[in-house]
Amino acid sequence: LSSTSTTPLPATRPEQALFRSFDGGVVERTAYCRPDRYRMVEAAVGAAAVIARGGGYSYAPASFGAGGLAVDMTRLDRVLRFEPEERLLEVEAGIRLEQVLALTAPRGLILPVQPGYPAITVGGCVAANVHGKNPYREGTFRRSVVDLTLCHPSLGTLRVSREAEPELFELTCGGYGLTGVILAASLRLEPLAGFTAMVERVPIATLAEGLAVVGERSEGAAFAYTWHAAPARSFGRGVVYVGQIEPGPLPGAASVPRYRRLTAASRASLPLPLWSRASSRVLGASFGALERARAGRREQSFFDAMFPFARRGEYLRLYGRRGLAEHQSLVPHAAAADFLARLEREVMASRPPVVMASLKLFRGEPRFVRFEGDGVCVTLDLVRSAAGLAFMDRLDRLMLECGGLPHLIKDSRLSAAVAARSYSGYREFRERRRVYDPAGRFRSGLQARLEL
Amino acid sequence: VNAVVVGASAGLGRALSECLAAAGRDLVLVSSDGRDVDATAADLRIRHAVRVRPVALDLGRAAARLEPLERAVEELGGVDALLLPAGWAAETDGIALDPLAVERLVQTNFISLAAIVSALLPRLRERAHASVTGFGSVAAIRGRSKNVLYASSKRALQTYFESLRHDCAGTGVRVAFYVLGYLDTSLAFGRRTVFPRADPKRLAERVVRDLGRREGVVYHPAAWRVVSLALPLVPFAIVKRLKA
Repeated sequence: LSSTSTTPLPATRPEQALFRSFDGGVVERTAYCRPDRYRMVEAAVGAAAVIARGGGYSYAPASFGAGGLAVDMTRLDRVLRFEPEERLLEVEAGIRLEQVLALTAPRGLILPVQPGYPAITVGGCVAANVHGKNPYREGTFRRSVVDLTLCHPSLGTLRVSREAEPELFELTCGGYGLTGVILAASLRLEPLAGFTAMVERVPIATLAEGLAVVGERSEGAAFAYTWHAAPARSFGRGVVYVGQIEPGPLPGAASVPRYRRLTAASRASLPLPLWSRASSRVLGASFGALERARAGRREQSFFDAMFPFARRGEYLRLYGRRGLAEHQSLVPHAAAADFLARLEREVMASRPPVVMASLKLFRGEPRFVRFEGDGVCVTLDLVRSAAGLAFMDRLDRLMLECGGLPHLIKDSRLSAAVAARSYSGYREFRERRRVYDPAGRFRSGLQARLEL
Repeated sequence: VNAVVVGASAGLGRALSECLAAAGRDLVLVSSDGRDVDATAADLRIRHAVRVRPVALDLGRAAARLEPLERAVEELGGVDALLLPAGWAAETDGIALDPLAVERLVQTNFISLAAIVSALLPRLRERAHASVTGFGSVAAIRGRSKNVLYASSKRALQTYFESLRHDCAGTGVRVAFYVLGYLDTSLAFGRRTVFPRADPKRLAERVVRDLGRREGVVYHPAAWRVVSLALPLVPFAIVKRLKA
C-alpha cells in the first residue's frame, strides 16, 4: 500500500487542548492532531512521543499524557468492507460502536462484545481489549478481531493477525495503543436474532447471593450481571439482570436512538459532586426498590440493554468535576467467595463512599497485560474523595491477596507496583513491546504511571 | 442522478459526498491520494448502496491526465452535478515561497479545477438540469501578507466562476460559488482562527439541498457578505496597519 500522491500534506500544526480522563482523575493540557488522511497518520507516528485517541472514554489517561502527541482518530471512521454472508466487517479504527450497530443490526448481525457506551471507538475496543455484558459466554473484544492494520513508525503500514505477526497481534489486542496506531480492524460479526432483550430482574440480598445467581445463569443467557446498591444497614442488596435476545423483527434505520452523548468534558460539567454517602444511599435504595418492584421478565430495547449509560448519563455526571473512582478486578473462582466476604466486611467497617457495585462472570486466557481470565469480575464505583481513594488502596491489597487482576483502563490511580505484582505477563509485555517500540515513542499517562 | 466531487476524501468534500450518497446519488470521487479516496468510496458504497467510482488524481501536478476521470463519468452514464471543494494551503505560503510550491498551490486551487470544469462542461450541457459548484474563501477578499497564493488562486477561481455563469446563462447548467469562512477541517486545524469554525456537515447539507437551485455567489456564514462589501473600501494603509 503506497501513496499515489506527491502532493504535500495540508499544512497542519497540532492544537493544544485540555484532556481529561473519563474518571476525572487526570487533567492535562496537551498537543493533539486530528488526521483525516492516511498520510497524516503516518506523519503523526513520526513524532517523538505519540498515542492514538478514540472517543476518550478510558477512565485512565490511555489516549493522552506524558508529553505525547494525542492522535485523534475519530475522523477515520469509514466502513471499508462488509460481507454479511461471511459475517465480516472491516472498519477504520475511529468508527464508533453506534455506527457499527446502525450498519449491521438491520442485517441481523452484531459485534458480540459491546462495552458500556455507544460512542466508544473500535480502535479503543481493541487497544483496551474491552469486555461486554457477558464475558463468560462472549469472551473479550479480541475474539472478534480477524486482523488489524497497524501504522508503525519503522515497519510502515502492516497487517497483523493470529497468522501473520502473531506476537504483535497479541501485544496489540489489550496493548493500550503502545505498539503502533491502529488504522483499521477486520471483525467477525455474530448473528442477532432480534432487537428486543427480555430482561429478568432477580432480587438479591447479599453479594454472595448475587454471585450464586450469576454463576447459575451466565451460561444460558445473553447477559447476566448484578447491581448492588450503596451500603446501608448491609452491603449487597441489589438485583441480578439476566437477559435474552428475543427472536423478532430487526430494526430498520433507527437502531440507534437519539441520546445525549457524554464526553469526558461534559461528564465533568457539574462543579461539585452530588453523590455522597447519604445521596447514594437514598437514591440507591429507591432505584433498588423500583427495580425489585419490576421483578420478572420485561422487554427492553437491545440498545438500552447493551448501553445502559447512554440514556442514564446523569449517573456519571453526578460525580461532578472531581469524578469517580472505579475499582474493577478479576478474581479467580477459588478466591471469589472469600474476596466478597472480606469486601463486605471492609465496606461495613470503614464506610467508604461506594455508590454501587457489580459482579459478572469471566472466562478467558490471561496474557501480557490484558484484562482476561477465568473468574469473577468485581466492580465498585466510589466518589473520588480522600476517603474513596483511600479505600481504593485497601481494595488493591485485598485483590492482591486473592490473586486478582486490576483493570488498567478503569483506574487512573493504580500503581506500577500493583500492576507488576498482579499481572504475571507484565514484565513480558514490557520487554516484548520494546521490540516493536525500541525508542519508546508510544506514550500515554497510563503507560507512564504503570511503567509499561 | 450523478455527481462528481473533486477533493472528496476528507473535510468538506467528504461531507458533501456523504450527503450526496445519502440522497441516493451515484458518485465519482476525485482525490489526490488513492488510499483515502478508495476508503471513502467503499464507505459510501456500503452504507448508502450507491455506485461510487474513486479516481486518484494529483491535482497539484500540471497536466494531470483527466482521462481516468472522464472514463469514470462515462461508466456512470454522465454527470448532473460537479462540485469542486478541493483546496490546499501551505503554512509557508507567502511572496517568498519557492517557485515549485507556487506552481503547486495555484495548480491545486485553480488550474486543475478549471481544467476539470472544461473537460466535463460538454457533458453537463447535455442534461436538462445540471450544476457546477465551486468553493472560495473569505481569505480572498483582500490581499494579505499571509496565505498569499491560496487567496490569489481562490480569487482567480471566483472570477472564473463568474465567467462560467455568463457562459452557462440560458442553458440548463446552474453555477454557484460558495465563499466560505473558517471550517472545522484540516485546512483550519492548528491555526489561530478569530472566528469559530463552521461544521462542514451543516454546510454540506445546505449545499446539497440547494444544488441546482442556488446560483451566483453565496456566503457561508452569511455575515461574511457584509465583510466582503465593506472590506474592499478600507484604504490599503489601514489594512496594512491591521497587520493582515
